[in-house]
Amino acid sequence: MAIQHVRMKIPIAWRENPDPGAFIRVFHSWIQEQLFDELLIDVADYRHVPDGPVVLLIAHEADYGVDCTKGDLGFYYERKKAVEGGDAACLAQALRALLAASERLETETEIRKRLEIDRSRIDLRICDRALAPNTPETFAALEPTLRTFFDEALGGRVEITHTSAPEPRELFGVRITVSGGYVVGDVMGRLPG
Amino acid sequence: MKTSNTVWKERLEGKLPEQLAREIDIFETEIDLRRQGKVDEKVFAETRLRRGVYGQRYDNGQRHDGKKTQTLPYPEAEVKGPGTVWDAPGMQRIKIPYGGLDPHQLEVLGEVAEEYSDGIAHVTTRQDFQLHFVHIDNTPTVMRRLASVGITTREACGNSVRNVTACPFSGVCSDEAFDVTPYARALAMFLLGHPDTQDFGRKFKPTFSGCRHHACGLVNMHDLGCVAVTRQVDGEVRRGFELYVGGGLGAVPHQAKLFDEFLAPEELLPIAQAISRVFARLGEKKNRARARIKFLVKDLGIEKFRELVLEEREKLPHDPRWTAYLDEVDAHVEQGRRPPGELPAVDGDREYSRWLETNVRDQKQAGYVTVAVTLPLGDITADQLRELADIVRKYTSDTIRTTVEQNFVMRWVSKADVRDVYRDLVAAGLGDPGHGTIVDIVACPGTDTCKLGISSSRGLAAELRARLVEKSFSMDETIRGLHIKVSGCFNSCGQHHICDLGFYGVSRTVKGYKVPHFQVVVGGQWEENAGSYGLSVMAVPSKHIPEVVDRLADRYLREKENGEVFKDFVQRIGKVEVKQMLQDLTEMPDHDADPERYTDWGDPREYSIGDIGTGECAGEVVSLVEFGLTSAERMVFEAQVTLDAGRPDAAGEGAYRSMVEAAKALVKTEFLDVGDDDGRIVDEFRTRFYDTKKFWDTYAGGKFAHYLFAQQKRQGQNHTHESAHHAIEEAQLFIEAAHSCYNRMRG
Repeated sequence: MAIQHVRMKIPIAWRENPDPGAFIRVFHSWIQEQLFDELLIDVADYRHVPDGPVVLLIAHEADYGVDCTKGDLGFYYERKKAVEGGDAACLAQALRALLAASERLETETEIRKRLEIDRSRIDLRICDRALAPNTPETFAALEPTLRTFFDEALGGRVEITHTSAPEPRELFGVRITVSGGYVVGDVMGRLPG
Repeated sequence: MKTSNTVWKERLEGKLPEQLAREIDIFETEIDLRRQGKVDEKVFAETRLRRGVYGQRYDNGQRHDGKKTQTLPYPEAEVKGPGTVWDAPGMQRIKIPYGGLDPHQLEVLGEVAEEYSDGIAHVTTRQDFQLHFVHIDNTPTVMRRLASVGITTREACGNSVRNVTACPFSGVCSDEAFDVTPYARALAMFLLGHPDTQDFGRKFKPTFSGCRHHACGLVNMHDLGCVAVTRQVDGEVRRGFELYVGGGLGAVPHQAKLFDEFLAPEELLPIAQAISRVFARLGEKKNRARARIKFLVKDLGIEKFRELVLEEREKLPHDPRWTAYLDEVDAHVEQGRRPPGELPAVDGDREYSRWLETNVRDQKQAGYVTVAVTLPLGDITADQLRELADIVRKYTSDTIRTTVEQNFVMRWVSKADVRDVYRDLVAAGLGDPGHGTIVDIVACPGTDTCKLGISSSRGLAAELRARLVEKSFSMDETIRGLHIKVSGCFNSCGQHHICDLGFYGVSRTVKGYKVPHFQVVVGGQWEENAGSYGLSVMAVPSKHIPEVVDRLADRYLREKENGEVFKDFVQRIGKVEVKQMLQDLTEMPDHDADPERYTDWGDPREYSIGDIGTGECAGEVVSLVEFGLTSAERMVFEAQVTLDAGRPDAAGEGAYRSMVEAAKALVKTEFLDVGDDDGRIVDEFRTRFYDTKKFWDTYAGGKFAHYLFAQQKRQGQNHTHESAHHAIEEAQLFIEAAHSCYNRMRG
């Protein structure tokens, strides 16, 4: 079972004065600079949708965004275009992109000091039901690969839970938690490629 | 783009309705041919539009980022239409006839939204869905997955019959003459892909209403509108339709004209077919701005138009489908899943009480209600679609519909369950009150995703909604009942003409800067099936529109007389007065003093109109012949593929069929009703094109026509690989000759 079309999300929280509109301004500025490897295209505003996507940065190969599905506010990266090189390469690509963008987010004037990023947890979904049906079998098949990758990348023994298990109709999703959290720079140094 | 596209194709092989599966396979082949440059880009654009595969803003590869226009360097050089880059995200429109859905369909809509789009399914002002930011390479898979639950995207866009809408309370409304649902369904199925609807110069929108007086199906603004009526005939109550034609919004709205006071159901489909023929034959095709049927009806006058339609009706070959569905009409009976009941006590729950007041309505069937699910700007997430599916399953017999106000209506909810339904909807984030009130603002996608958007309709709608929700329940009931609709431009996809307060996007230059504005439209009427159209009074900067709403609403509340509706109030005080009271709102501070007022709602970029592109709403006018020849080319290509797969008999047969297809395309320019019998087609081709030497090559003479005649003679004989190969080559030459013949015909 090959891993593709991965979405990784890290929790964020407002320390004060929540301002989802700030993400709109920031994402537009990222497009101006074409900040990342992906071709950044547009910003989609869904602040009016409860417990759903908040603001998306649409790119050709992937989307970045802030999402509040099930009330869980987070910053995410979702890969649309396939990544070559196998499962580890796919996971590494997504994690690298997400962490780099999250670091950039933390430095943005609009957001700096107002936003807290939880560096102890990553939620992963595979956005393709044909490749990864949301079943215990998929979890059993993928858990070893995920464990090997995240143990190495996050620098510690991670806990992986099949979070989408209660609802088979959802996309396959797991939560990866690492006790004590991770340091972005260290993770980037350990990622393959 | 998705690696699983082939997996889905294999997984759903043999599991889709045959016709839907075949259409999707054809579209997939056309995608391949386009990528190989073998299909003209204009023809492909109309082809994909007729599958609901639409362009989006910036798909010309250019985007103003607030400082400069960026070229977006997509990797694929090919185009999917004139000026539309292959890789640019597009929109997939999904047809939902009369808005009718079941829970499984809701679930699959959620799946495709989260796997191929941005996670949101958007309900449109015509009861359709739209998914945004979809890559064209994924669209066949989207279509297959939707087809697996009986949903088609065919003719959702383009110069075709669009979705057939109908009042979402059909069958349960105490004011209706009768349930129009089976008739709407029959018309939708009959006209879908009908040969007589393939040669329009523009789109065609039908609708059904159960009564005259409510908003219902908004008959007055549709190309074809049917109002259910009954009449006593020989002591019996007979069903019929008041039939209207030639309505439409667009830039300049037209009221529909009465075609028939009482059209019997037996005549509904043939008359629709005859109207289609007249529209195809006489409708404007060069000037896209005048190509809707409303202009044809206006130019001819309704009397002449009626005469032509009735003449055409007489010539129609009989089609058993005209009346076959009538046997099933009375079999279409919805029922409640749970027994009827009484409403539980409100018990001081203010939020529940508010919701009950606006979102719940008695059905004509005792003990049952309809429950409206209010969606913010018509948007719903995949998770919410799943939860809604569960709620529909639990409390109803799968009876839910989309509405043209971009919401849902659940039907057949037992009154006894209303409290529980509310609780479950709230848990799903779907328990907002305010359905059909001032906070239930309708907006087209506008500058968010539409190439034609001028100002941000959704940005304005979101802002108005947020402000009005705060105060809505302390508002006077009169104000709460006002309707607001917003369009991103003058094309009125937000239906801004038929409400109390309408707004459409325009641009103005103020103090040297481009500034987003909205025209303020008053005098419209939602009731009486879109009874009257408003007119614009003045343009006001986008950021000042909330103040426009406040002032007009406040003044109306203070000065309305004796139950006077808003449009009559405006009529009484006069547009001059309206303009005067808003005039100061047209003024802008200097840019440097307040730069944010120079931007649009929800968009911090310096405002620009540079991103406005060429809309695809008008599609591409592609003649029936061009479609036919493109179809022939696809068929001969498929014959090659079949031969490569080691099936010479099928390949030879395919080659012959492709020649027949090309011949039929030519024959239909003179004889529309030639039908599909290949013997007849070849005979007509021989008489009209070979004997007359129209199909004649300067050097080869009638040689290419002989290929067709020869293949027809050898029908029933087996092919070898070699003979099939020859047949394919001959078919390719025949089709080329057909192209040349057509080019000569066009002059």
